[in-house]
Amino acid sequence: METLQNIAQGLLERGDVSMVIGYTPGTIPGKTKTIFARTPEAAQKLTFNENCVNNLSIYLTRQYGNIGEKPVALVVKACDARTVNVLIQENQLKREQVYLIAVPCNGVKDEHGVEQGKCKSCAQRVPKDYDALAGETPAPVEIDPTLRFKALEQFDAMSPDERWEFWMKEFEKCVKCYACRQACPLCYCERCITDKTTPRWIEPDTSTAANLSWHITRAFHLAGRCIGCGECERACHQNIPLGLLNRKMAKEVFDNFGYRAGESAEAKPVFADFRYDDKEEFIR
Amino acid sequence: MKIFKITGTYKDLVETLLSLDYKVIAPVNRNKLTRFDFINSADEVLSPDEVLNTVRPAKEHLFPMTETVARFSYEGKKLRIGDVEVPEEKSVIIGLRPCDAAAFDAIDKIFSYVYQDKFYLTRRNNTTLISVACEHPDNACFCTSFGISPDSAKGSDILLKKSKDSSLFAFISTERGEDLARTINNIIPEEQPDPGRDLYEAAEKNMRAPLDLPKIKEALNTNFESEYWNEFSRCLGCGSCAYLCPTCHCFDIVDEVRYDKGIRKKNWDACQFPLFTLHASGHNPRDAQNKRYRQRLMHKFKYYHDRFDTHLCTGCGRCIRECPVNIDIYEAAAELCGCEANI
Repeated sequence: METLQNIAQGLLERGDVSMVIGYTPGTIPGKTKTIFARTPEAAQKLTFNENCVNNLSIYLTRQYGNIGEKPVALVVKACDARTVNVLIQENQLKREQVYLIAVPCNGVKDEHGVEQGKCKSCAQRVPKDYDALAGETPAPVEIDPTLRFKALEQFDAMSPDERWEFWMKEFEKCVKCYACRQACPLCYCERCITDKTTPRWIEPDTSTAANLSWHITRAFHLAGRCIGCGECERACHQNIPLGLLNRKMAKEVFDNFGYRAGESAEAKPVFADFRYDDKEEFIR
Repeated sequence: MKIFKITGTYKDLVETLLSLDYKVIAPVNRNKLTRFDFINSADEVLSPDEVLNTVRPAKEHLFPMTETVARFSYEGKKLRIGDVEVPEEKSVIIGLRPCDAAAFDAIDKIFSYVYQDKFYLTRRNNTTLISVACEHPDNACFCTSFGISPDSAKGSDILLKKSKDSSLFAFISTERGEDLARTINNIIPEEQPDPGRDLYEAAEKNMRAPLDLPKIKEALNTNFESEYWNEFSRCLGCGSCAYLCPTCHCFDIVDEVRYDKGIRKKNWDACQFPLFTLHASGHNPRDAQNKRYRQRLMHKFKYYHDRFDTHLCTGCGRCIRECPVNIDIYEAAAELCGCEANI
């Protein structure tokens, strides 16, 4: 069995990758931080534990400029690897530009010890596709697949008025810092719609209406793409349950098209695909 | 500084405040978010034992996230500009921590520098700050780096402190504080000797060791182009640090126009966003995230100090607690000058 540090050290010694992006202990118990290990010595600082919440695939997006001639190695949990798949599907990078070091994951917790919502319904201990596995292949687990949309049940049971009231209360808290966007590996647009000023599509102030238009726009833009890593919700210090919006969209896509984002890097993105036997008239 | 004894509990004091002619702002937990908000009843207030520091600081009550600063309209080609008045409403903010109170002291300097910001200053002059000393700072707190302490009165009109036997005392440092105290019947108008700071000395010992600020500034003076900043290319640019900081005060100005009428608004902004420095030409002097993080450290520990002889950080720890990638400003500043971060 190879350890994470050994795999990373080997890659850097052989010069197979330009760097290994992984986790290292943070400054506060329960927090971890990202490390860009560029030397075999730095590889020894890598760690993986139940506090490695972050989805590091964000550092593969173009704005970070980490993708060069040599591949970049990335430490991935199963959910993170699904994001990498979406990035490949959407031509943001090529599979050979990234070396995936898979880490077996039994669920992650934030620094307060709270298990992340996504982990409760996740039965995937290792990614489907990876280049090296740090540790042993864990025993498979069985989890009721309906748990994935469990959080929506209470929400779906509300009347439209109740739902409206629920979201108005949530969006009132938004401070428009856009941390949700910045923490999202799939919010990689070079120019976000909210930053456009001629014309201005989304008012920049923090009125509840302006906040609503931002969050709705973002949810729509992530429909069929969001893999549910939960980084937006984790980054939101105002505790707005943003994951609910994305999960709702994921459910719609799943129910209508049987598609789950990030399952395969080869699959066509759901909104870039069509079927001759589509149930809707207008598309045929 | 005048010291008075308080009868009854903290909650009794809040109730008395509510009976006075002030709007009362206090820490509450509304919809899973701890923040300072207007209150109608003492029951909704989080006691100092329930919350160390709210996620959102009290800053938004003097410097709102969104604020209309002017109105305008066109009549044909003629432009009319209308001023916006700030109401002179008396308010009291209770339950601030010494770091947050000191933060207002720091940003007063910029809002009354060359331009007198009437929006901030009018509210500031009408607001009385009652802070509460901290018995249990957490592992992100580092106020002692800035000449503040868990029981510092800096910036507070009234500071509430406990003696060793848990009696509550009011330390009054300003006229505004005295004016308010005179109308509060829970405050016994008889000066007391200092009850000591036993509880707070103990609290201070568990905090992060004070930063060497002169050494940090020296390092910032000479390391603008240092490779050290590459460390911060992991920053997501989410701006959480700035939006939760009690001293960050940058804003953007936008016009919202509908047909022939418009309003000019001030909205919070942050140096961590690429758009913050994007020129109309397309050039961006801070074109990478590590440069934007450098700006944050520079402004906190150098530029503001150069101009106002005060640091733009009070060690409240919010940016450390909430950063999604664990960028720790204390560690960042300490390691820049080769010091070990004593966390």
